[in-house]
Amino acid sequence: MKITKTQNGNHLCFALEGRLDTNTAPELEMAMKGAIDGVGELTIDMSSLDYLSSAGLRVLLGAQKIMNKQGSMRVTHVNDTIMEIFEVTGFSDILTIEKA
Amino acid sequence: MSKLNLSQTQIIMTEQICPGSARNTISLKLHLPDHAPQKVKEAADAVLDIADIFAASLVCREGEWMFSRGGRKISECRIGKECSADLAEEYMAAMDRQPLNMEQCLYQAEVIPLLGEGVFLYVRFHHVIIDGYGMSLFAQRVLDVLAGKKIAQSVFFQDSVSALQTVCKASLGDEDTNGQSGQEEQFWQSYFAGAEFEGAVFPQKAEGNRFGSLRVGVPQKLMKEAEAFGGREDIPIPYIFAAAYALYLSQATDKKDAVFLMPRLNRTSVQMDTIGCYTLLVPVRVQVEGADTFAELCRKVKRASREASAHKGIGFDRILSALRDENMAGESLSEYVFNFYRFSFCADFRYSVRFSVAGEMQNHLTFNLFYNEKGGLDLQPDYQESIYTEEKAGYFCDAILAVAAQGIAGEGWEQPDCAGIEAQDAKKISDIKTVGEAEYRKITSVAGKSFPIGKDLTIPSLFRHAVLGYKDAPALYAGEYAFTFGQLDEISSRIACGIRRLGIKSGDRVAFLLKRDYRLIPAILGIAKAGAAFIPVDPAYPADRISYIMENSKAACLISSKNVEIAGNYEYIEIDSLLTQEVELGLLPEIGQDDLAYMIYTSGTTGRPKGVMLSHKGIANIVHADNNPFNRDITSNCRGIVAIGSICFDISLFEIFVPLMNGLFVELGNEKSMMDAGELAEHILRHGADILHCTPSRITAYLANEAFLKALGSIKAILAAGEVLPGSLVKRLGDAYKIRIYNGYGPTETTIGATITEAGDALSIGTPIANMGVVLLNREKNPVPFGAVGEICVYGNGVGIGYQGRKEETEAKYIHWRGVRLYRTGDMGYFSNDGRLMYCGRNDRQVKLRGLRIELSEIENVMGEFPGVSACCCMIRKIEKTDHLAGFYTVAPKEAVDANALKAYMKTRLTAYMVPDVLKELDAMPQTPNGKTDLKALAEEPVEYVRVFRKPGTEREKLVCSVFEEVLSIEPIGLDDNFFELGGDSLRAVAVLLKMEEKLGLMENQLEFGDLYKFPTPALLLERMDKKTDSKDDGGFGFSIKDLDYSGFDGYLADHTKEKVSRRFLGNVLLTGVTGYLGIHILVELLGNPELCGKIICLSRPKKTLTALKRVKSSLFYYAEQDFSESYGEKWLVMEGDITAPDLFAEECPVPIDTIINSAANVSHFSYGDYLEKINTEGVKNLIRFAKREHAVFCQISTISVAGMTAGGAKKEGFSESDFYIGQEIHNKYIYSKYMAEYEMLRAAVEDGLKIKIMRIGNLQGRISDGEFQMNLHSNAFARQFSSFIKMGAVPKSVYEGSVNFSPVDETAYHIIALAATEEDTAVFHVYPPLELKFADLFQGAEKLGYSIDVLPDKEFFELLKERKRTEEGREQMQGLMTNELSKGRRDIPVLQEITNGYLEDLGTGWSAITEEYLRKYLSALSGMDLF
Repeated sequence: MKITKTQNGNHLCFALEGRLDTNTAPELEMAMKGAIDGVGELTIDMSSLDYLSSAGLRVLLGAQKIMNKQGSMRVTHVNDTIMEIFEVTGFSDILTIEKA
Repeated sequence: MSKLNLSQTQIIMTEQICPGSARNTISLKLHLPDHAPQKVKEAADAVLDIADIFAASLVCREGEWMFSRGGRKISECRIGKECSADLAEEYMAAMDRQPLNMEQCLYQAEVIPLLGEGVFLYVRFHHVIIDGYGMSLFAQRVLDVLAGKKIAQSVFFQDSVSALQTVCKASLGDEDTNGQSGQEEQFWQSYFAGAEFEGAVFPQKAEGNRFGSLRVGVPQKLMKEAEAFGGREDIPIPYIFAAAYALYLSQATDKKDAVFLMPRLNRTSVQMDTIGCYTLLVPVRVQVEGADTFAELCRKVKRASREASAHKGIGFDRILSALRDENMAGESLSEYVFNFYRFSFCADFRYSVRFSVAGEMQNHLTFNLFYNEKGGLDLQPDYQESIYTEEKAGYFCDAILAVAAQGIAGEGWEQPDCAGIEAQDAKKISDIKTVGEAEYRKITSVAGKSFPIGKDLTIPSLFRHAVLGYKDAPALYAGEYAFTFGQLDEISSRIACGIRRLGIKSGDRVAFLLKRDYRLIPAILGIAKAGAAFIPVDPAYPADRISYIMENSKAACLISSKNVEIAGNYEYIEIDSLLTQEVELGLLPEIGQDDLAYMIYTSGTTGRPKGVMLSHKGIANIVHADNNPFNRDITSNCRGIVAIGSICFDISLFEIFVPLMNGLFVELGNEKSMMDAGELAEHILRHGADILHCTPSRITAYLANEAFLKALGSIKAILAAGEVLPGSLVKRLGDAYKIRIYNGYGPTETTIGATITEAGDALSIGTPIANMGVVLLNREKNPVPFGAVGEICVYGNGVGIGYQGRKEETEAKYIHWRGVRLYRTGDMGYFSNDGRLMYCGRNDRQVKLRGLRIELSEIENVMGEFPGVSACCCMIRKIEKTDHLAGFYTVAPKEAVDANALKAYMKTRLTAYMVPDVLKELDAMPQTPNGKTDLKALAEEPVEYVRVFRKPGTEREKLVCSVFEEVLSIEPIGLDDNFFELGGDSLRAVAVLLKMEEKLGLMENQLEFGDLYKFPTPALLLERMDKKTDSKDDGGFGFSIKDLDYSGFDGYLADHTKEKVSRRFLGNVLLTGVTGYLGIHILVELLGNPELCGKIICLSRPKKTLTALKRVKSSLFYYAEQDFSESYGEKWLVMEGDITAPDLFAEECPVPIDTIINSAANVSHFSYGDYLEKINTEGVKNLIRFAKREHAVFCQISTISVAGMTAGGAKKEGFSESDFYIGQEIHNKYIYSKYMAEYEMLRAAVEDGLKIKIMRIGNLQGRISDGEFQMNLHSNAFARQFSSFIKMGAVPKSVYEGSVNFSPVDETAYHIIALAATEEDTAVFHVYPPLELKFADLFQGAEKLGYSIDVLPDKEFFELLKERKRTEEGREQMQGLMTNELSKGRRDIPVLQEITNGYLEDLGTGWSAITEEYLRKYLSALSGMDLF
């Protein structure tokens, strides 16, 4: 998976490309850990994300929990496949999702 | 402790409707360019110190919210990181949308230092502590502190009794004033008496609640004029804008009255300096009358709002319910709010102040009017983003400014000429234009391409051009006959010359009464060539209609033939005699484009048909190859059309003229082809026609015909006109046949068509065709705002001449409007945000039911999507004096539609009030002669309604009904109203149970969760409760299984329970339920052990836009982190299909199947309707049929719960692999459905020798490998129950000491496969670990992860439950416990599994032990998914 980080003031964006799974979730987690401090708005751009596994989902939840305390988080450009996962898992009620 | 005032109580109520929303987050943004962060922080803290409200926090005591007053401010102002002004704005905007948790924090103050210089002071408040006015007091005090002034204390909580009473009188409707409030309610009913209004301008329903904001300053010139006008007329300036708003709303909604909501200050003089929340909302009704002057309107608004304000004291909710009692309001009253803020600030340094008044919007638009720092006025509409775009909000501001300007000046802005529409100015209030300039330009320029049409073009001259170009090409096929263009020209000229010779002159009218044979089209062309107008008459018409047409049309003669039976009743010219005439071109006259070309009789409202007169101009326009996308498509891609339209409807002229004038052929369908799909199919194939025109209802009906489906393969384009085109049809034709489908819209009066869609666009009716335009007008003939619903009015080349002999009607419908002649269609439409024209039916297809606007077409669309429904139609029907929504439908051949399932489906897609009360299946949808649904006939269709309102009588009945009312927010509820049919769901079911306990003082557990599903009406529930208290009767415990035919079962099972194990190759496997938790693991295990089977065919349903394959791959990746692409196709395949469909597969299964593994199931233990039976039992029956055909082994995943319970009546003490019915009781719908599936399998095994394997499994849990649990864990009963204990932090001792069946999903899947791969010596297996998991281990594992859980004696635990039930949060916590059913003196029948365990041992496998490490993984998996 490729993670592209863009920071604009206190707005931080991670664009994900490929597959978010047990192998790549820790990468994202690490990338976030180092950068999320003081961020007011976090965006996870999923426009190029093909697959999402349960491990990936947990990292998103972790990020959401952090952002609940310090600002807001959006998951953007979510395609239909991933949207279905969000819906079935109930994450669509937890995350702020913008569909592709 | 302090009680909340009425204002605050109302705010808390709104919060409870949408908990966790930001609707009550309001904020203050104070920009201070010359101040340092620390100074501003200190000033903010000083203000937070002097107001007691900032030391208060909200607590909920016994269901009532109160303020707990503290001594000091709850939190300090913090200083944030320095950032740019842009970023600060973005940050504040984002924070505005964040909810404040009212139990934790009622405000947050922050200083944001700006790069460069200065700061923002940003304070977010929960509305419950402050209102808009209060925020202005806050801001001024900060400015005062910064200016070095002293500030006084602000005391919100009045301690003295007298002060409290003042508050009560002023704002509370408490007990003392109850007598008066009845009067208050009467006031509101009379205030709204006779009101005609609409709560929303735009027809869409709000989705989500994000909003945008726009700020527009009132131009200085207008401001000055407003001040002068206000002074002259004695009108405060805000009322000028409120009046503009009222006039705008009344015009935009096309109603006499305007209604908007207005917050009122609600402060006594003492409270004017208090930081706190007092404001109350009132509705304002303004009667807008065209004869008023603008000044009068302003005064009216002032009066109306002051009058309303004087009666605000009962609170908005009671106002609304008083109005609902009189049927004056539906769910909401108005989507429009008017806020006026006049805050004057003073400071001698630079500053600016802004407010945000809600973090989320529930209504469509809030019009805020502010005085800005410079003393000017700003308009700030906050608008719901799903309804408004920024463009529309801008139009709104323009409109308000324009109305105000015109009103004040008594004249309008200069309107530009658009698309030929001339400008017009206004002098009177009724003439004030309520759309601004840019918007006007937009809505009056919706027109098709404009290009010149040769003045000489008429039907004869167009045909002449075609003959020149395509002389020897085929032009007409009719039965046995075929004509080239040259031949058709020749015979039509003969007819023309013949009738000229008989004395027909130019301008005469000639009727024809002919069958659909080869002479029909020549007759039309011949009459036209003769310079006469043709009038089609259908031989199927009743005699008096024909006589009426002949007389009314002043026809000079009638052309008919001896083969038309009724022709003998009239004097007619035999067409055969004309066909032999000699052609003499000199006899044929010149024809003008504006001459009458034809007359078509349409149904009139008076009962007599109306003759619509059309000229050649419209035809010359619409047949042009470049007129519209359909013409462009067929003239460049197609060869010919099958014409099946009745000749008495003008669409037939489109079918005939567009192809003919462009060199394509017409295959004229005979009478039979108009109604018979098979015949039509033959026509299509006969000469290779590739174009079809058909109404959507007719195509839908024909899709059931196989021959027609085959013929569709050669069709390239379809024009589906005359009705709303269902999206499902477009998709079906496009997907399966690659047919381009167009939808045309247009009345006869505008020459066949007015607008058309591009291929594939099902939602809109498209854009105007060339040289035509559309404008949407209200009753006053003013254009409605962009996006609002108005009457579709059509102008341009096609607009006809008028109605024969009906001057008045012609003048009413064909009007001169701002320089163009336009036709008012009587159809309603609106523009979507992206500018497409949307159709909302006839004026009379838009209905209101119980105060709510309903789009019938929207309901029909949903109904049409339900599998099996072929055609459908909805309407309002009066049944026993009450209006009900009725839905009619027909069913596709070989399918069945269960009305209850259909209703349940519609409920998932539509809001409750839009789901029809009555559903009726019809054999065939009645159709009018031209193939549209016959609404008149449907209105006569007998219907019965079951929901008859039965008024509650006794106190108990009233209480139960009131509980339903409260929970469902529907009033009134009668004794026989079904909870689920009125929108109840499982969450609300919990609320009903809790409220019933509270209100009726029920004994603990007297009612259970499942009861509401079994007894869904107040009457049934009461009956159930009475039975429970009166006697020990269990009120129908269990499903009746004892009378089933079990003959042969025992013998079969005894024969098929062997201890010896012999392996078997699975062969090709059909696997169902593959996206489910167990199914996907079976697939993974099969893919991981490829030697066990041949090909794996996964049967899966597509969902929304996702294909079945995508869904399976995504699930695979979710659980297994690979999508097995490399073996896809080779080893495994995904086929679309559904086990509830009788033939399972959408397409033929590509390989023979040897083993079926059915893991598809609906596992909800509670559900209303018949979903469970459909999937769990009916689905199995379908698979059994398939298994028999394929001679496959059918392996069914069942549940060990079929062992059931016993109260002592069971014949055996243990339930083994050779048992099925042993006298057990089954009390749960889910288990019953699985039991019945086993029953069906055993029956088929006994009777037809079906080879079966039944895998009874236990409680599926996290994977043994890594603890991973099912995706939809929130729907797992065990997980929910466990989550409730953790959230409550407590567990009853009896549970803690107990144990639970715990089956890791991956092992279960593996064992299922291993057992399936054995010979059929044994039919049933009990597949779950022999050892249960101790709850204690599970809870100890949770404690290690940091969750603390108290083990309480059962009694104490139930006390705790009772206490928790009182709060919303507590109820949320304990939800997982509500769905537990009680055993009522019954116990589970012990289950034996010797045979299965022996098998597993022989197969060299077994169950892993549940270790601490596994539990840790499992629990972290659950917690990582936010279960607790």
